[in-house]
Amino acid sequence: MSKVKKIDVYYILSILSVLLLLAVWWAASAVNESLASPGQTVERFFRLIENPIMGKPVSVHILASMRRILVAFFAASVAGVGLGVCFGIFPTFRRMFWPVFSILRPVPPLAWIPIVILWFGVIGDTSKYIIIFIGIIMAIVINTYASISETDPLFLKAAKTLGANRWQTLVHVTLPNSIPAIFAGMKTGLSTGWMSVVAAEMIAAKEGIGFLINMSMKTTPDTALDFVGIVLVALCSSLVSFVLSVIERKLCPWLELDVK
Amino acid sequence: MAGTGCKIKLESVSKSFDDKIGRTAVLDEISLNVYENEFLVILGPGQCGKTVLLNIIADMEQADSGTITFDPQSSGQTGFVFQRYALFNWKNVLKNVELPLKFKGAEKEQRQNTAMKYIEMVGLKGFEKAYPSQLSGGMKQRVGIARAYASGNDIILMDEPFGALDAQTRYQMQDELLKIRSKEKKTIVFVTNNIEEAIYMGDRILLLSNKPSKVVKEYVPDLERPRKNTSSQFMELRDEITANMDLAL
Repeated sequence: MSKVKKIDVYYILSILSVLLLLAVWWAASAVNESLASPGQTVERFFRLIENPIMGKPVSVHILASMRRILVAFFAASVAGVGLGVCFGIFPTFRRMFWPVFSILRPVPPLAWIPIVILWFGVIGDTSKYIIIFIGIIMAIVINTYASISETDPLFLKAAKTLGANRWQTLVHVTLPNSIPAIFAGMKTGLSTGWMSVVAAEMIAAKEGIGFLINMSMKTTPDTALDFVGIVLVALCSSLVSFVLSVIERKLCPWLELDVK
Repeated sequence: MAGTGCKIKLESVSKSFDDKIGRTAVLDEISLNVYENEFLVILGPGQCGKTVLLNIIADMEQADSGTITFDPQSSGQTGFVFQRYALFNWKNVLKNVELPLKFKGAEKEQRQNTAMKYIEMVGLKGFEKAYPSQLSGGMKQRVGIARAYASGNDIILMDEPFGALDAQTRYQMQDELLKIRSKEKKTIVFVTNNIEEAIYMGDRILLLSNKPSKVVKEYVPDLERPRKNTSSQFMELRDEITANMDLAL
């Protein structure tokens, strides 16, 4: 009984914190007239549905951003885990490419925008995919590599006594042991990924949430439109993170048990 | 060596480690035989190098000098039971026990049948779908033993397998292991620092000294099984080993 009550309290706290955020937003907009209030933002959203920007309904913008992050996220996850595993299990590979990776890693993904646009153009999604891919992959590589190289030696010893070869050790021991860390890297990567989506779309796109945000700066400042973009990014990224958590729980049934 | 019943022969095995303070000799010219189907206990004070000795037999560490010879009829592979269980948390009981067979490329059906046989043997029937985090320490070690048996190796090395268990569970597991052993004969090398456990379990006991470890003495408890730790013979032997173990420190 008491357990149920406890969960209810946390549930209420979560709702309260969101309400508090809205209250702060509302208060700030009341003090500063140039800032759109939550109400004005909702109103702006409905106006956006009635009067599409560039003749594209708002769903097109949302789907464009979602498509970009999902494609880039999928590619970055596959490549990032692969690269992290290679760093983790091939010492020669690590010695050769870790310095290169370490030099490039701290460079903000946005710094690549001019070169990528020069090479791949503004039209089409290739340039956007590349920028977002760079934004996501770094955290996944780091987490995968760190987790694999820190595998408890006891597990490796056990695998050896059970007759595992190198590949079997990777598939049955090292990788599954690293799944939680890899997912943590994916979640970190997603937040830099959304940053990259919005930035890339602000600079080089004719559709997308970042494009909407950019339009709010054209002609007279339209902070309500900016807030529409901010809320849309927040909702979309929450949705993607939620789906990722569901997948993680499905993939790692043993983690659920630890909590109980 | 064939026909002598000797499964493993160690001759003058020495090992030392380098660390910050210098060179520490751990094993000093250890020679011993492990005979077929015996329950050999290696008894020694904590940190005396018993684990290193097992690691060398299991080919996970290399001796500095000396030779290790396996009975040519044996694969030279050993099953291993760890003090900290070393179960894979992400696999359920069945998958953990199946794993050595999977590594050998056995068919799914054969894998499951063999694994189930050993899961039943250690008394965990009904728990095959449970994950290690759902099991108590004693149950985890039953899985560890089932997994070592499922590896199909005729020699099983046990490194203080009950060292992490509470006293009550420890006694239960000792009886359980003796029962398992009576069902399926294996050559067992069992490392412990617990004198009563050594006398209760062992067909033969080798007492090691502290680092650098040497074999100090051999005991063959002439006690009827099931042994009683309250019998006078048991206590006499315990006192004798205790005296020698104190000397070995």
